[in-house]
Amino acid sequence: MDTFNKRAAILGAGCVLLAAAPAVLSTYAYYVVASWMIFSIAAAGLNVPFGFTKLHCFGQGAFMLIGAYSMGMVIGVWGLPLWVGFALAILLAGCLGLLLALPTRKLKGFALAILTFTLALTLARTIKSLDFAGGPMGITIKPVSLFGLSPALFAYELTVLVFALSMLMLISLSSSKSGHAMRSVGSNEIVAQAIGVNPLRYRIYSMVIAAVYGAVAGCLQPLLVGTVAPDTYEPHLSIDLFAAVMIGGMGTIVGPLLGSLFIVLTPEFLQSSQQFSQMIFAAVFLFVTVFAPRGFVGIVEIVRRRLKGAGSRGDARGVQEEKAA
Amino acid sequence: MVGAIAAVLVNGILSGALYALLGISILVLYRTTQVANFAQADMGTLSAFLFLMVLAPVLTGAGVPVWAGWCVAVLLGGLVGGAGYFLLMWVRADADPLDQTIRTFGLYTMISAVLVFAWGEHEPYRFPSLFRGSPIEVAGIALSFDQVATIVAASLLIGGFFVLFNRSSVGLKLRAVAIDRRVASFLGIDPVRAAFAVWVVAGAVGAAVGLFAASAAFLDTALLRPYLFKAFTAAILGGLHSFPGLVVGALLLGVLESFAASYLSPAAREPLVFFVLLMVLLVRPDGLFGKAALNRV
Repeated sequence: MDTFNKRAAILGAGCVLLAAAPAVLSTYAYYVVASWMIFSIAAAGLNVPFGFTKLHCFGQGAFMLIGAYSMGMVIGVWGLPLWVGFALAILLAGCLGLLLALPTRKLKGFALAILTFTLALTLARTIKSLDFAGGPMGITIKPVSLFGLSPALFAYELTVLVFALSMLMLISLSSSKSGHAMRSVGSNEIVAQAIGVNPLRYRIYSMVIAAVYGAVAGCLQPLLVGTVAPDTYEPHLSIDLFAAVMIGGMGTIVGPLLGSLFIVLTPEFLQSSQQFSQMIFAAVFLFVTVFAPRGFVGIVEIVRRRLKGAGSRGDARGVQEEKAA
Repeated sequence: MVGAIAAVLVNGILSGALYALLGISILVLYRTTQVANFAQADMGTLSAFLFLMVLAPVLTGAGVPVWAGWCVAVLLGGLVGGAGYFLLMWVRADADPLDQTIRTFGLYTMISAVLVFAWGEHEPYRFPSLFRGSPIEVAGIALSFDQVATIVAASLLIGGFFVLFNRSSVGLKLRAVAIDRRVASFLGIDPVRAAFAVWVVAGAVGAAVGLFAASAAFLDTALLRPYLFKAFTAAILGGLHSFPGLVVGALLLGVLESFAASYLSPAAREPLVFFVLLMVLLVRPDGLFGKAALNRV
């Protein structure tokens, strides 16, 4: 519980700062911060099946698409209130996550990787051919605002709120019984069964969590941007999200946040050329997948251990245990 | 009416044959190294681009006939595959297959970024076709010569692969590694060399798919991406262990998709393929013709 309190305190302080940030930041700057939070929510959700139960799920973009289109339809087409959009998105994505988790009873790895990747590709292509969902043009929504805030500020503060809640739930999951059960399923299924953990059940939980987080992040995006653009949800989004988890460090709490920061900021710093920033991103991603599978967090840990000058086995194990806690 | 159906059928068989070829390059890698290569399609596209942008001007200048240029391009594809192996698998070569599968996503991102950076601005490109001729008539039905010739060429390649895999000594070694890596290494087969060989073969076969697909339409940087998941689906239809199953699955998929596109809607193709994939995984996870496969530990 100690780590939970510490993490919750850091999170709380961070979110208060984030909520107050628009007072000093330009509109564009806090738009970038909000994009980072949205990306982080989706990536942190993906981290649950990916880092905890070790399910190779490559279609997180599909759930963001479901969220964005639910919100777009509810507000932009049907003219219903905001919460209906969230409810619809969570319901649809949750069911889909459940459906995707069912085949993992017999298959993992290869088949699930293909199934989820294919889902992202299929949904992105199909949605463009549906006229009621705006076809290739997408949906434009009218600005939404409550409590007398400007629409941009409202979208930002709502994002901070959702970000705070979803990260809080994740850190409590991480140190809870379910979190440990998920990790045990991920590291050794047979051992997990032996200690009374039902692997399928926790795989389903983890997939549904990823789906819901992706959908909620997707819901926030049109509120911030003002449109639902189908090109945003091409399969490269799924790869970006998955890259965010890998680059940051899978299975950790801060990893996906760092990875998302990298992915959101690279194009901002290299605005001269979109193609060039894509190359930089690809090079870093390739480097991480080949050389540093534990991402930034892993690299930092190695460096920290070196600096301490204690390369002994016992110390390395201590770090491992600290991470698992 | 009959002519229209025949045209749709031939179209479907053509796509099916290309799915089968790409599926072979994926499955041969999967069987030997248990790595699902998500970069396979983009490796093929890269080979097609290297052929069009680098090889073709040089070869045409030297007066080399087009078919010989294509053969060189397939060899170049083998080189691309080998380079992919060294780039991805040289470090931490003993990591588990899923770790290695993730690296292919890195390669996928890298290749597509490089393609868009280098050639993305002026796409799509016209691609020189190998087969040119007037439509041929079979039993009173006119069929496109280009399509029929591509189907024949793809079938020859598939047949050639079967001979290589089932009859040659290299194929024997690869099959041994596929059945049991450890036992194969006790018998003196170097798994690293086997993995390298498989990447070269997969790269070459992928390049052939790239050439065929580019000459059937235009060459652009996302050329083979739609082929990738159909090839994966075909491999799963075949139960991930049988090459004949894969070929049958790919042809079924191609024909089914072609009829759906003509008689339902062009937009029905992807959802249909996804539905087939999901159903097979839920109902028959060992493939259409599969027996319950042994779990490899």
